[in-house]
Amino acid sequence: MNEHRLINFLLRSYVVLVFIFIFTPIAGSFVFSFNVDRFPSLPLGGFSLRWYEAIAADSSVWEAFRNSLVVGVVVSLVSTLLGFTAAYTDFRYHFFGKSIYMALALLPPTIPVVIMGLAMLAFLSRVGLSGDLHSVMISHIVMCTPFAMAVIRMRLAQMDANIEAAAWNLGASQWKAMRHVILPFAAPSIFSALFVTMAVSFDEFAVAWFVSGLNETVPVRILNTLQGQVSPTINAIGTIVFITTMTLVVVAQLLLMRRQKPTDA
Amino acid sequence: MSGAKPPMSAGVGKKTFRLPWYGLSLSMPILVWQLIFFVFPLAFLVAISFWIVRNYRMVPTFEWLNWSYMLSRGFFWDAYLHTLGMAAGATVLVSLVAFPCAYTIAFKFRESLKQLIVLLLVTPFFTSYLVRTYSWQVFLSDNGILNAAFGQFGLGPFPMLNSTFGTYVGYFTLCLPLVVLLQLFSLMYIDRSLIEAAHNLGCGRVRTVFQVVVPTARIGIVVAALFCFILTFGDFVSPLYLGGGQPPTLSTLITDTTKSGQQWPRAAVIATMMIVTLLITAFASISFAYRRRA
Amino acid sequence: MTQPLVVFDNVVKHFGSFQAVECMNLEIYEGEFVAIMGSSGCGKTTTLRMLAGLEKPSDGEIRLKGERINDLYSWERETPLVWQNLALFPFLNVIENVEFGLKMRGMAKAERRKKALHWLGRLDLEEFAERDISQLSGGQKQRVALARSLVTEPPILLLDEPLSALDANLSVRMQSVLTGLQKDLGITFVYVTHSQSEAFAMADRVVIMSRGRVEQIGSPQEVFREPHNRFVAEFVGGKNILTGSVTGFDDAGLVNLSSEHGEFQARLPDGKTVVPGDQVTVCLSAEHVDLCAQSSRPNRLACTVVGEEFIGSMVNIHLEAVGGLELQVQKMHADYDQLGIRSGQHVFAEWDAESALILRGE
Repeated sequence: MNEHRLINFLLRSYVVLVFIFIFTPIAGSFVFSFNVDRFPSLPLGGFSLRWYEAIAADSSVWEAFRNSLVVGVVVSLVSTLLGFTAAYTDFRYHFFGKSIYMALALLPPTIPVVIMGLAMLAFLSRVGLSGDLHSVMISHIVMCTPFAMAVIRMRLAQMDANIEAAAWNLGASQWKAMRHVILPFAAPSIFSALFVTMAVSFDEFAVAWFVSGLNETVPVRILNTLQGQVSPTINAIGTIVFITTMTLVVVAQLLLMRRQKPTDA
Repeated sequence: MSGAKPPMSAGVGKKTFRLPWYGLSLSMPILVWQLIFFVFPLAFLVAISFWIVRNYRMVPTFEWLNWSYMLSRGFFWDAYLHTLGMAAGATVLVSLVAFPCAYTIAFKFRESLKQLIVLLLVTPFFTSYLVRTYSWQVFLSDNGILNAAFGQFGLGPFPMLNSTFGTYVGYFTLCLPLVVLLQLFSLMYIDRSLIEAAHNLGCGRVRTVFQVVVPTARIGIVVAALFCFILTFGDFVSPLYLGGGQPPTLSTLITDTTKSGQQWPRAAVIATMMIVTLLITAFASISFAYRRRA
Repeated sequence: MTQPLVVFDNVVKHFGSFQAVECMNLEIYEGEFVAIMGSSGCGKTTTLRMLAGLEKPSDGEIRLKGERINDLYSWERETPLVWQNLALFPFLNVIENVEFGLKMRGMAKAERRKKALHWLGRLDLEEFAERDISQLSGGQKQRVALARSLVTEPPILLLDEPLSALDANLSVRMQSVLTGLQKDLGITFVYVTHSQSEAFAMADRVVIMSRGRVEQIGSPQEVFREPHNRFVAEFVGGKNILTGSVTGFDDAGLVNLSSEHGEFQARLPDGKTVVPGDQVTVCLSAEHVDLCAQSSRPNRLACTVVGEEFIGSMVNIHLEAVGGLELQVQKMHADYDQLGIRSGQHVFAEWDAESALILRGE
């Protein structure tokens, strides 16, 4: 039995090591963002807000945040709407070629971002839509819709299919049933999808880098900083983005859990 | 009764065919959108691999010029084999490193702890991969955190940045949380009684893992590995910023060819080769995952 | 009676190659309690769903108040359904669930609240008006589902096995709630069930279906006393089936039959005629068979007692006659004790010729 406990101990330590590896860069960037040194090393330099002050004074960063926000809001609204319709179609209908339909709705995240970026750049510039924020929006909507669809589809899977038919039977047209039954039931997942898609869009750098032209979003700004003169402002931006996206995700999660409780029965 | 009368007049007494506007207006938008902005761009990408560039402008035509140019260049095949090798190596290594971790979480941890772990594993998806990469630069550089720590013991400095090791650190950063998560999901749904039955039949602990757990969770393990391959095969951040960019991978070739010149058709050739490679890998691994057990 | 409320006119429904309902003809009148019953897959639920507008007939016509409703969507007809799993809206509370139908019809908030409260009161649910659905017991949910369907005051209420999820006690109590409600409101109930006891206890008329076909329509008494065919006889239970060929008629109009088990007499149902040589199927109720050690009556069989089954104050005695024919006999417990017959003993089973009925539909 001792041998058994030793093995268990080793396995648990191993899990801890894996998590240390996963969280080292995240914690590191957080710590470095408050470090006075340009090239942090041991022993760590003193606490400083200079990198935050640097980005506060940098208009291109402000511009990037504004761009990311605009893109994020539009992308989250449109991709949640599209994701909802796809999820509902999958939930409600059976038709010939449905697997191809679903593949179209779900495949984009499996295409490497470089290829997506090149394809979107080539296509959008051909139809005269490239080099602007709306090209980032279009690309991100393609990439985010599957996430919205997955989140909402999981919620619809918990719905008794009879309650929609019950609404029709009680005099609700299909649109009224959608408004009064499907939407209220799916509401928590719709909110959740809004936040998740916004977070994904807020984080996406590769495709945005290809198609955005001169309109940098935050991750594109980071990528361009990485390519030029490396600066710990990246850590400060990263920390702000991390806190923003985590807040979005946690709010989404809380909404999902709070709304789910009374309807579990 | 008066206020509650349904519209009984519509269509009474005659056969009517009504277009399913409702279903169409809900199912068509995503189809149209994905056709225009997902299928067309990818198809267009393949198409422009047959176009040629004249006077810095792409001319629509159908020529094998770019294909014969790229496929006869040594640097392309070097990059192809390098990328394939790196991605395959990362897939195997990440899967091997992840499995004991996923196994321990699935079978040794309490339910509440499991939920926390799942939450923790999701967190990295919401931190910028670029920021994490930059953070690793600070840890791994010659004067960085790790070498300073080793220096305390009179060791090093070890060159870690701008090496294959650096690239792999980046690949692990990119894939490890996802692979652990996917393996974990497939392991969590294994029926415990199956394992107990194996023990009962005199199958040892280690043998149980290889004879019972791995085969049962095979689909999840293969899908996790496939995602790892897709991600690393297409990644240009780690090879460039942690691996030093030499030799180039296919993704760096694409970004260079696209961003620095007007040679989109050649980039399209590389991209098409990548898509074909990924399709073959995906089909092979999916059919392996769902293959009947002999 | 006047014009029927609902008419099924040669209605057919198939799903792909599967024939769910074949050639259904049924008239349902105002104020009637009709039960459609049969085992699972017999087409009873499909029939109900076609009436509710949730399935479209493949052929034939369904008329409500004389008007064809085949092409009306569910929300365009007034045929509320009480679902087997109730299908209450989990995100609405009790009164919001009840109000739903009125809201869909555009009734003003104050008015529909008043109506909903009235129906909650009628079903003893006022105190639960603001509760969540998940806080209710099975019986309470049942009544909410009823209130939700009745609040629009429809001419007809459809019920799809509404009691199948309740325990036996509650189910019997709900049966009286349902019959009481139906009599009070005077509206038509169409009730689908696989339970013969529910159907026979509540319905004015029962429709027995099997494999998509209507086997018999009639009052519970008619169906029990004069089953049309072997399927119905076996479905309602407590019946013995004998076969024989017609040899002639006696003065009282009874039919003489000959079979491998001997000579019998049996009664013809009204309107059925036979000629000598016809093969007929005879149905004999278990409670009309007498047992005795020595028999003098013309209709009798020598049997062996092979088993006894005690159900409350009744006892079912299983017999085997020469030639392997199985018979069942139902007696009061006390009467059976008096006979003093035990398993394995030889007895005569005998009956009046009037109790043996030639089946019309065979």
